[in-house]
Amino acid sequence: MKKSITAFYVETVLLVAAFTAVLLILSAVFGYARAESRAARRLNSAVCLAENAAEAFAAAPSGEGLLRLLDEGNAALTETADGAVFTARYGADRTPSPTGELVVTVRVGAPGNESGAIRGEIDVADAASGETVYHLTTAARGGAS
Amino acid sequence: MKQGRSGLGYYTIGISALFLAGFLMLVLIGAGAYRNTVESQNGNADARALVSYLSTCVKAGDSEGAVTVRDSEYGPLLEIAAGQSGYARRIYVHEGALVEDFARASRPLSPENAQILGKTAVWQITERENGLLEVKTDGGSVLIRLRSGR
Repeated sequence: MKKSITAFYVETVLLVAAFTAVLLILSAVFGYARAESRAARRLNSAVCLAENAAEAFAAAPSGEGLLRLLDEGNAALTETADGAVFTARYGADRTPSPTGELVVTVRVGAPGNESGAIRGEIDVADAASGETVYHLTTAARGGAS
Repeated sequence: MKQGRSGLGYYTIGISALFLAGFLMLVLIGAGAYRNTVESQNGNADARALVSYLSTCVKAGDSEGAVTVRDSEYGPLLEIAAGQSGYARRIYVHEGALVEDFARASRPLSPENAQILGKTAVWQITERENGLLEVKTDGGSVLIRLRSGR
């Protein structure tokens, strides 16, 4: 009788251990799904912001032009040796926000020698970590701005 | 002996309760994760579906003078002419939904015959400089640059 009770206890302990392991693994999977879902939402916002920046760049391929079209009080333009750099900050819902979590940076290149097209490098990065969420390269003919 | 059996009974009930609580927790966490994923997926689709469709329509029909924006009895009207045929794709809002019809440009709008593209409470079109259109819907704002050099 004592032997069978001991076996029962051992069996339940093993069962609880296995159940706890399953619980932990599934919790981790659900946590991962949640993080992926959040990342997908952020990527979606980043793609939309980059597309908008590319369209604005096509309309006015210069730092001043971008500032004129996209500035809603939180954009800045800096001149570097490589050209103008436009930056603006947006919230996760893509509304302009000085404390937003996404930073859009457009690096305006010099006009190409043969085609005359101006290259624009668009980066959408996480404001906290600086990690690039989405990158887009575009080109537009100058003179429109 | 009787006391020992009673102790074993409580132990078994305790283990069963633990398992039950664990399963319940798992179901709640799983349901929460699924709800979040679906909400996020719907949010992403809502944000991009309408504006992507509009952007595609405008770019597909973008020839000189083909894309026009004007006021109508249903608010802002985006009209994309189909070449020189006299027909046009007309996009506007009717009863909280963005609708589209394809008809002779000169004919009055008939929303009852139009196709519903999606729900939106916001519908604004602003013409910016150098052929840049800013279209606002519930999904946010999208910029569309007309390449036709209008």
